[in-house]
Amino acid sequence: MSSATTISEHAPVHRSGESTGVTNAKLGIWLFLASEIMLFSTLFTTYIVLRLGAASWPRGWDVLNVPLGMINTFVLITSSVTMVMAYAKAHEKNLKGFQTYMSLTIFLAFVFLINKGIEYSAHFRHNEFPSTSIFHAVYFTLTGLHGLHVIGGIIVNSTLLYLSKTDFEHPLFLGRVEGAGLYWHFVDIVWIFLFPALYLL
Amino acid sequence: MSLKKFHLFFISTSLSLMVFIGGWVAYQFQMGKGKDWLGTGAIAVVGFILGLIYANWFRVKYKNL
Repeated sequence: MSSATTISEHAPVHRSGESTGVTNAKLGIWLFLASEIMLFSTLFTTYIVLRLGAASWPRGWDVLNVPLGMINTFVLITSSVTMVMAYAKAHEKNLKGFQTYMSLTIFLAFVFLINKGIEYSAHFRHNEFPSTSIFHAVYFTLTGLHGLHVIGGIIVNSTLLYLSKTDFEHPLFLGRVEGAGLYWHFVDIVWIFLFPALYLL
Repeated sequence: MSLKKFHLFFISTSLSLMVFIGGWVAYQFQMGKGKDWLGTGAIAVVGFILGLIYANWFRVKYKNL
């Protein structure tokens, strides 16, 4: 038996997930999402404290565009469905299906941002800015930060769509799609809480 | 948590939102403004039914995802 064989038999093998039960990529994305949960929880808590301490607070449905918010809610829910379908197609090694569903996810993210842009421009036309009131400061901060996360999702998903042309068969590609899918679902779930908190309460 | 499990959790949360919107429209009815939000309530009911059908289909179709 050669010395090289002996070393390879006894050397520790660092396979992903050996000690944690999940792949390194999935552990990394969940750690990142944990930090994101802390960020949005802090902002939500700030919103609750400011609202409870305010002498008066406008009703969301009186000052915000509920139908447009409702449309955006369904747009994001649908985009989560297309995202998980893209992952399912990648799992089935169906490149065409993956590209179709990933393109749909990116398209729906743009639809969300366009609707948000329409909403923002209406506020600006009515001279409503973050400095107008505490309510507007909270509204623009929470929805603006969420919008930035949507833009981040578009960048990640577009990169994966581009890479699929060459790296679709790469052993790590599926894990990357799953990571992007987890991030996208997180962004969507934040909106599921933002919409009723700002528009309906 | 895998993407499949997180997706099912997300759909459950979305279904809860539909129930919340339904309750909110009922509250608006109590306040005498219900007619303005009838469309919103109808969309929430349809969304809830479609969501339930989809979640059931997804669980069966992608059992091994």
